Amino acid sequence: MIQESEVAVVGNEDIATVLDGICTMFLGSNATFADPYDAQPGQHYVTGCVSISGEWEGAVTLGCTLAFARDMAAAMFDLSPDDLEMDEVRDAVGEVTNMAGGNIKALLPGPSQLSIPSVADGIETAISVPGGTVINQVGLDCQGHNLVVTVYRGNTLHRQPRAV
Amino acid sequence: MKALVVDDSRAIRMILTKLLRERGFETVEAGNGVEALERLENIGEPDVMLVDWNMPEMNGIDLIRAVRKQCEFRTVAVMMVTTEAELEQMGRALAAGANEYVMKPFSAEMIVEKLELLGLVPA
Repeated sequence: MIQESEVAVVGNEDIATVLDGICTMFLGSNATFADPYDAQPGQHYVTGCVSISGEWEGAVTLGCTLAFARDMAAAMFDLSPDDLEMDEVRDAVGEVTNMAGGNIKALLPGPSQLSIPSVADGIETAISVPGGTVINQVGLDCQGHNLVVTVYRGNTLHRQPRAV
Repeated sequence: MKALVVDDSRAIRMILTKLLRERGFETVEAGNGVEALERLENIGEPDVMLVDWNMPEMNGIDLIRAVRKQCEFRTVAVMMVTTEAELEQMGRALAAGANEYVMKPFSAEMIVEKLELLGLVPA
């Protein structure tokens, strides 16, 4: 299900276009709309988060399976997915989240600043943004993998995302 | 030709370093602005610096301002490579002393086109 809140100031189509550009650039494959995945028992997920502070305050998270994160990292580091260290996978997801957040920030009222990305990963791990309200949640499919971009609005300044 | 690549993402440093080496550049990397200033003390003036904006310890804008304050680095070409996509941010970077501006995600062609504009690779 693709959700777009009535208070959203950026459209799901715009978010999909941003992610499609990133996936096309690094993986050579399009990202198309899909239902956001539901956490599967025992599955390893990786989620990146950047905060936006200033005229518009909130956060952008990007979540995906470890398999997709490895494919993205392999493309960026020009290595086989099996040869990657977990730090390299986190670095790649952090940078992709940074790109998504920066390009989404450009669609929001400004001026605002983007934080350094943070990344959480683990079995059945998700990120919550305390005080934030979900205004967009976009599920995408790229190379058969699901990824989910969520835009939160709220006073998240100086708050760290929390793994739950 | 010598290039200094400054980005807190190892993946981005690796992509840019590979691209530059394939075009004959000798490259040095730094993970933030503070590290970049330390590298500059050791390597002297590079021909070009590729600089990210959002980095820990010292961001790209503060790095460019610090570099432009030093006489020996006033002529180095600076290309900002960043996720900051607003026109106002581009203006800030150029005012700080950047010569070119590339938004992430970037293609190899985009970087090469900017290197051509800077006269660092043949057009």
